[in-house]
Amino acid sequence: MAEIIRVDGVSFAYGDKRVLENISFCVTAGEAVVLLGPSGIGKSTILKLMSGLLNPTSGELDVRQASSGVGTRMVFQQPRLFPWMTVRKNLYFALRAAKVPKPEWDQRIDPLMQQVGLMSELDARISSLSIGMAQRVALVRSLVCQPSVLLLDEPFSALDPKRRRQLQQDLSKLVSFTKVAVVMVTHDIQEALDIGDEVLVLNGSPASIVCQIRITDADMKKAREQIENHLLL
Amino acid sequence: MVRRIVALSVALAVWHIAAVIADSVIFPAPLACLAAAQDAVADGSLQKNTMASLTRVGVGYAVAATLGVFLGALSGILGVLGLGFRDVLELLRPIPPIAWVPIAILWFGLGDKSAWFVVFLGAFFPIFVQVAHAFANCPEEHLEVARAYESSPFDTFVWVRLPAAAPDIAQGLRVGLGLAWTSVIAAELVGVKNGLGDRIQQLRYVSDYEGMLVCMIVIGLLGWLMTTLANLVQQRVVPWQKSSV
Repeated sequence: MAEIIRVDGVSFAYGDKRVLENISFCVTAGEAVVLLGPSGIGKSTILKLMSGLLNPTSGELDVRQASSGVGTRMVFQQPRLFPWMTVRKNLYFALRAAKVPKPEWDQRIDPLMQQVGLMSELDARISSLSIGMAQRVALVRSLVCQPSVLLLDEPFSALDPKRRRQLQQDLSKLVSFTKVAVVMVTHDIQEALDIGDEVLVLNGSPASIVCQIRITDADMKKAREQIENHLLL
Repeated sequence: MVRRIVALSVALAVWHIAAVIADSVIFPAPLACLAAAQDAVADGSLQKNTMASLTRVGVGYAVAATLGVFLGALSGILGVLGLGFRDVLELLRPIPPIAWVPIAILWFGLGDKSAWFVVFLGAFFPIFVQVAHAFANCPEEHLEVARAYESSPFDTFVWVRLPAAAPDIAQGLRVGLGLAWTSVIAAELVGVKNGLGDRIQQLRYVSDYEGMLVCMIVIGLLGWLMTTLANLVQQRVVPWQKSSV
């Protein structure tokens, strides 16, 4: 499989505070990599580095851009849709920013909105959406740009268990529909096992990768024990 | 609506009773004022002076709104440079518009120009401060989305910064309008030859107390009307954030 993102010996510090130390991993096309670790350890910082919102203190990040799309697009913990726009205008914002030609906008939006069952909400105001609907729109907003890698920063954390399961299913549908690679951050072991093809466990201060498990090959029970042991370190 | 009608009726009744008890020419009753209002409308003086005041507000407020929004946006976006600019203006802001009247007359002479200047000052500062604050404090969560989606600085301004600031801009324009109206009356008390402020002054010289009160009531009604209209516009233009009033 073609490698589309490579994180090579990346370290990061907020001023004097070292947050990440020597982080290395790669993501191949269509793969889902989950970064798992305790809250506040620096998992979201890795996504911000991958999305270009932050620059690493040392090390290298190489993102291969899809031919018809962009490198990475991020879905935040909260949907972060613009409340002054309708759903459609929020999606147009992402397409305009990605410099997608205007005639293509609706062609890109409609199939994805159909996948998440929100076609009827295209002209709705953001305030009229439930949190689950808003997060699905946020997912579509990132995917209309056709990124090589979708970055998910604990996108289910604001949801109750029922909506969380629903959104996980929608995510799976969208990922298999678009064939996009995924890097997701979570502190929930079950979520990591459900979604990830590979789970990277982060721990320590500054945080580093303490364990790397390929879920496709692993016995789930064993994988869970292994992760728990590394999180307790 | 019913609450307002009841409150107004009670206020009128209290005014009437107080006037009857006071029994003084300097405290006219509502009915005497109504008669004075009918006379002022019949001879056209009320309409003429009201239009003169409204025109002055229109000119001064238009300039204040244009400059206030433009300079406020610039100051909010420019970071430290903008902060320095705001520091200077913060020193001028607490000076009440009426304190500018003598210097306005010195600079612009007696007439409309000095009144426009005072109206401009009254409206400019609240608009400028509110707009600068709105642009300087654009929510980071929105800006982070714009950066993560690689939005250009121009698109980020048009689609993110401007609409995010819109509720505060509308609020500043609304407050500015109210202050423009009160400033024009202050400016007209000296320095011009017509307008509701000047009319009050002229009627004071001839002891027409009913006429004075009529002008004051018109000032109050028009001020209320402006605020109400500005609220409606604010709710329509920025429906995602309801007016705070």
